[in-house]
Amino acid sequence: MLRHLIIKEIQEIITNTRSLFVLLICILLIPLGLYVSSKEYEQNRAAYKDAKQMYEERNKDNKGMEFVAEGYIPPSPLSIFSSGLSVYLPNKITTDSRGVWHEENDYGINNPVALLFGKIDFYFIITIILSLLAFMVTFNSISGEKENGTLRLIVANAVPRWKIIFAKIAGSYTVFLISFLVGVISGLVLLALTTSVPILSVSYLIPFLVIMMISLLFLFILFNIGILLSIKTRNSGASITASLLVWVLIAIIIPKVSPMIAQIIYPIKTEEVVNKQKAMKRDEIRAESDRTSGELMKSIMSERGMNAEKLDFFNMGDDPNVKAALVEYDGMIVDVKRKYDEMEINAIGIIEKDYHNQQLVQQNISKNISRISPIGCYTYLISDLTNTGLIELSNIEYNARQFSSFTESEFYSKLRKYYKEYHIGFNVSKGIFGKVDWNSIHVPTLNTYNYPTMISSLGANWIDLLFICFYSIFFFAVSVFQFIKYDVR
Amino acid sequence: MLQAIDLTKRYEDQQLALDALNLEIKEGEIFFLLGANGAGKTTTINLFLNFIEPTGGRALINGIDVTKEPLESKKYVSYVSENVMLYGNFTARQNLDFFAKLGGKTNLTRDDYYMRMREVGLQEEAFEKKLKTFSKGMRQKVGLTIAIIKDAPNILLDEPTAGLDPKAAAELLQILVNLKRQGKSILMCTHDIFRAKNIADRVGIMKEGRLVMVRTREEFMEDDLEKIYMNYMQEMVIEKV
Amino acid sequence: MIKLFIKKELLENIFSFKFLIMFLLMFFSLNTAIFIMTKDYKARLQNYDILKPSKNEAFAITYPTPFSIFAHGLDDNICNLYQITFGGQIETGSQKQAINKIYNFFNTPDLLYIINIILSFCAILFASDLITREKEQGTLKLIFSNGIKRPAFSLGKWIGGYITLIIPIVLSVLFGLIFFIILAKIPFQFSDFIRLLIFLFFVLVYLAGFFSLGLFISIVSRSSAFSMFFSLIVWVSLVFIIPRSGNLVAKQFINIPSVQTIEIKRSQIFIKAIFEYINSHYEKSKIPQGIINQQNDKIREDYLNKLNAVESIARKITSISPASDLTFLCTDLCNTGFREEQRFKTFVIMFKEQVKNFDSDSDGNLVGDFTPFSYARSPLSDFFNLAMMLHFSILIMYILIPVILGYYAFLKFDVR
Repeated sequence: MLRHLIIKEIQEIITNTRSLFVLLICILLIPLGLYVSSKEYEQNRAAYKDAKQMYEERNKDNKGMEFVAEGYIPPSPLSIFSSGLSVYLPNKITTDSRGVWHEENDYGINNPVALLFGKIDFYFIITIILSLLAFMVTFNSISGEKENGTLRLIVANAVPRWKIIFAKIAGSYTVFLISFLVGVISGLVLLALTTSVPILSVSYLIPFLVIMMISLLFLFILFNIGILLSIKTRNSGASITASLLVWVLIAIIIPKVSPMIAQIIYPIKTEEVVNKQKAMKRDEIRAESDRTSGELMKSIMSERGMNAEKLDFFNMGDDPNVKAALVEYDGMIVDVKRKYDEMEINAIGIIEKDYHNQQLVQQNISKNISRISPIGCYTYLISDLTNTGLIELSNIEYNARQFSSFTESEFYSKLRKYYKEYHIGFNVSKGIFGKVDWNSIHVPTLNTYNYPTMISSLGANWIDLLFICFYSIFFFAVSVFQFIKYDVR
Repeated sequence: MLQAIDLTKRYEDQQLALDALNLEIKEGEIFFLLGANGAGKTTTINLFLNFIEPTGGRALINGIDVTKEPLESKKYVSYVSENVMLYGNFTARQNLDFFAKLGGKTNLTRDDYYMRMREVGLQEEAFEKKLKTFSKGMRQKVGLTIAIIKDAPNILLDEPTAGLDPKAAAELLQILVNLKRQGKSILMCTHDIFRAKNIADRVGIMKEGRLVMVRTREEFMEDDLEKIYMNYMQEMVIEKV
Repeated sequence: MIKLFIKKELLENIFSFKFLIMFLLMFFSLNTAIFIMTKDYKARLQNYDILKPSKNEAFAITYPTPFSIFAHGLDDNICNLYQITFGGQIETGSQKQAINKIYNFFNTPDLLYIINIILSFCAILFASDLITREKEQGTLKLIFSNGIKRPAFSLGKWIGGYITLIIPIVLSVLFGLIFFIILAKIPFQFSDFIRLLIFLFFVLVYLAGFFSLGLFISIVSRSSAFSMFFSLIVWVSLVFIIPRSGNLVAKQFINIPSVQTIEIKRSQIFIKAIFEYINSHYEKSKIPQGIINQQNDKIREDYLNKLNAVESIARKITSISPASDLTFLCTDLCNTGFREEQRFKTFVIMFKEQVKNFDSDSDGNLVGDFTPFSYARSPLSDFFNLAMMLHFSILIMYILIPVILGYYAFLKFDVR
C-alpha cells in the first residue's frame, strides 16, 4: 500500500512543471556555484604559493634574532562548499624571537562588486535558493489535494493516515533529492574536468559525504516545515503566503537578528576600541620602562659621583669610571627591561583575554538565538566542516602557537647561542658573534598546517548536529501527527 | 448495509448539524437523501466515512462501527464526491490505477480499466488523456468508475449529478441502477427530486439536521414528491420521525 | 470605468488573506531591517568617535553616514581606518568592525536588501496570479460579458494592484522612520529628506517593474500554478543569479591580482629600499622615502585601474538586472556606493601626499604636526549624472516593456 502511495506521489510530482524547474535550477546553479568557488580557491591557492615562495626567497640569508618568521596559511579545499568567514580569517601567522605571535589578514582593497552582491557558493544555494524551492515544492502538497477533492477520496479508503502522509513526504522528498544529487554530481564532474581542486581525492571523500548528509537533512527539515504549513493552512493561496513568511523568518531575519539581540543583551566594545586600549596600555608601560631605566642610570652615575644628564655618551673616552658604571648598568638593565617586557605582555594578554572571553559569551548568546532557525545550525556545522568557521579561528591560534614553538626550537634557539646584546647607555647594539654553522639553520616556514579533524569539528558542533536531527524528527513527527488529526472536509 | 443509530453531530460552536439520525439501507437498495443546503446531508456522509467524529450514536457499515474500526469499515464502502478534480496531470487510467490500488485491487490490468470505463460510457480516446482536459461529466464518470472498481458493497454519493447535463446525469443514474442490481447499498445525497422519483427505492427528506420524512417508492409514487418536498421545506412545525 | 476597476481591485485585495500576510511580512521585515541597521549605525558611530583622528595622528577615517541604514553598500570599506605610515604607505585597518563573528556569516539585512529580495518577491508573486486567478474563478468571463473595453480592465488591474502593493510598503517605511529614526535621534537635514524621498521613489519604480513583469507573466500563462513558477524563475535569475555572477564574468576578462600579491609587492619595495640604504653604509642621510612612495603609488594605481575596469564591466553586465540597478542607484544616492568609495580613496591619497614627508617613529608611525584628516560625503547634486540616468532608465524599461507587451497580449487574451 505504502509503495503505491509513494509511486503515485513521485509520478504526480514528476508530471508537474515544478519538478522540472527544480531540476533546472539544481543543474544550473549547483555546478555554477561549485565552479565559481573552486576558481576562487585556485586563485587563493596560487596567491598562497606565491606569497610563501617569495617569503622563502627573500629571507634566504636573513638570519638573525630580529628576523620575524612568517607562516602562510593555505586555503582549505573544502572551502569551495562554503566560504563562511574565510574573508575574515587570517591568512598569515608571524612570530618573533620573543615568542610573541600574531595572526594577520592582508586585507587591502577588497573587490567591491563581490561585497555588494555577495557570492553564489554551494552554501548560499542551499540556504537561500533550495530552501525556498523546498517550500515552493511542498506548499500545496496537502492543501492542493484538499482543493482537488482527491484527499477525501484517498481517506475514504482503508488506508491508515500515517501511510498517506509518510508517502507524501517520502515521494516528494525523493524527487527533490534526485534533482539535488543530479546537480551535485554534474557539479563534481565539471570540477573534475575544469579545475584542479583536490576535492575528488579520497581524503576529502568522507567530509564531502558528511557535508552532503547534513545538507540533505537540512533540506528534509525545510520539507517537513513546508508540509506542516500545507496541513495547517486551508487553501493553497494561504499556504504559499505562509511559506513565504516562514522562509523570510528562518532564512533572513532570525540568523541576522541574533547577533543584534546578543549585543543588546550583552553589549561589548568593538575590536578597534580594544586595540586603542591596548596601544594606550603599551605606551604607558613603555614610558614607565624608559623612566625607570633612566633613573637607574642616573642613580648608578650619581653613586659614582657623576651627573648622568650632563654626560656626553658619544665622547666618553676611556674614562674607567664611566665604563664600570655602564657595565653595572648593563648587568641591571637586562632584568629591568625583561620585567617591563613581561609586564607589557601580561597587561595586553589580560586585555585580550578579557575581550576574547566577552566575545565568546556574546558569540554563544547569538549562536543560541540563531539556532531557532535550522539555517543557523546548518551554517555553523557546514562552516566548521569546511574549515571556514568559528573553530578555525581557534585552530589558527593553535597552529600559530605550534609555529611559534617550532620557530623557537629550529631557528631562534640555535641562534641564541651566538646572540649577544650590548647596552651602551641608552643605545642597545645586538648581533650574532662567533662561528655559526649557517647551513644547519633554516628559515622557518609553515609547511604543515593542521586543520581540525572532521570528527572534532562535528564534536565541537554536537549541539547543532543534535538540533538538525531534532528538527528533522520533530517536524516530521509533528507533520504526521497533525495530518492524522487533519480535517479532510 | 449502511446503518445509522441515533447518529448525532454537534459542532464546537454548538450548532447541531445532525440530530439523532436513524437509518438503515439494505443490500440492493437505493436511498435518496433530499434537503436544502446545510440540512445535514453531507454531514451524514462525512460521519459514515469517519471524516468527522460523531458526538452521539453510531454509524455502521456492514455492521462495523466506523469510529471503532475506521480502516476496517472503509473496506466496505466506496465514495463519489461532488465535483472531484482528481489528479490533473494523470491520465484517466493512471487515476483509476492509483485509486484501485488504494482500494486494495492491486492485480488489475490495463484492459480491466478500459472495460470499466467503457461500461460507464467514457469515450475510448479519453482513456489515456490527461484528466485536466476532461469536462465535468467525464470527470464525474471517472470518479464513479473509481467507486465501481473498488467493488465495495456500499456506495456513498455526495451530489454526483450537480452541474451535469441531463444526458450525463441520466447515464450516471443508469449505472447506479445496475450497481443496485448487483446487490449494493447506495446512499445518495442530492437536490435532484426528479431523479429521485425515477430510481430511488426510498427517499428521505432532511431539514435542519433532522430526517423529517422517509417514504418508500410505493408511498411517494402515489403522491407528488415535489409537493411533499416543498411542504416539508415550508412547514414550521416538524413532525419527528 | 477604470475607476470602478481600480476600486474593485483595491477592495478585493485589501480584504484578502494574502494581503494580510504580505502586509505583516513587509511590516515585520522592513522594520526589523530599520531597527537592526539603526543599532548598527549607532555602534559604528560610537566606534568612529573613539577612533576619530586627533591633531597629530596620520589616520584617515570618516564618519558612517546615517543613510547606511537604508543602503549599507560599501560603508564598511569607506569607514575603514587608513593609516599613513613610513614612506607614504597606506595601511588598511582590519575590517573586523563587526564585534560578533556570527554577524559575518549572514548578509547585511539593510533596507535595500529587504527591498531587493523580499519585496521584489512579494511584488512578482502578488501580480503573478492577478489575471489567472480571475480566469480560474470565472469572473473574467463575467466581466467581459458586459461589453467592457479590455484596455480599461487591464489598466484598472495594473493601477489597482500596484496601489495595493505599495500601501503596506509606504506605511511600513513611514512607521519605521518615525519610530526608529526620529526616536533614535538621528540628525536629519532637509536635503536628507529629499534623498530619502528619491530613495523611496526608486524603490517604488523598482517594485513597479517586478509587478509589471508578474502581471505580464500572469497574462501569458494558462494557470496560476504555472505563472507562479515562471515568476519564481524570473525572480531568482534577476535578483540572485545575474548580480552575483557579474563579478565572475568580469574577472574572466581582466586578470586582477589578489590583494595578497599586492601586499607582497609592497613589502618587497619597502625591504629593497631598506636594504639599499643599509648597503650604502648609511651614506644617504635618510631612508629613501620618495622611492618607496613613488613605487607604491605605481602599484596602487595599476591595481586600482584594473579594479575599476572589473568594476565597470561588472557594472555593465549586472545592469541587466533591475536588482543591481537599484543597488547601484541607492548606494550612490546614500553615499555608500562605488563612487563614494573611490572619492574617499582619492581623499586618502591626497592626505597621504600632505603628510608623507613627515618623520616616523620606530614603529613606522608618522609623527608631526599636521592637520587631521577630514572628509565630507558628496553632496546630493553629485548624484545626478549620466550613469545614474542609465540605471534609472533600465528600471523604467522594466516597467514599460512588460506593460506594453502585456497590453497587446491582453487584447488577444483568450478569456475562456
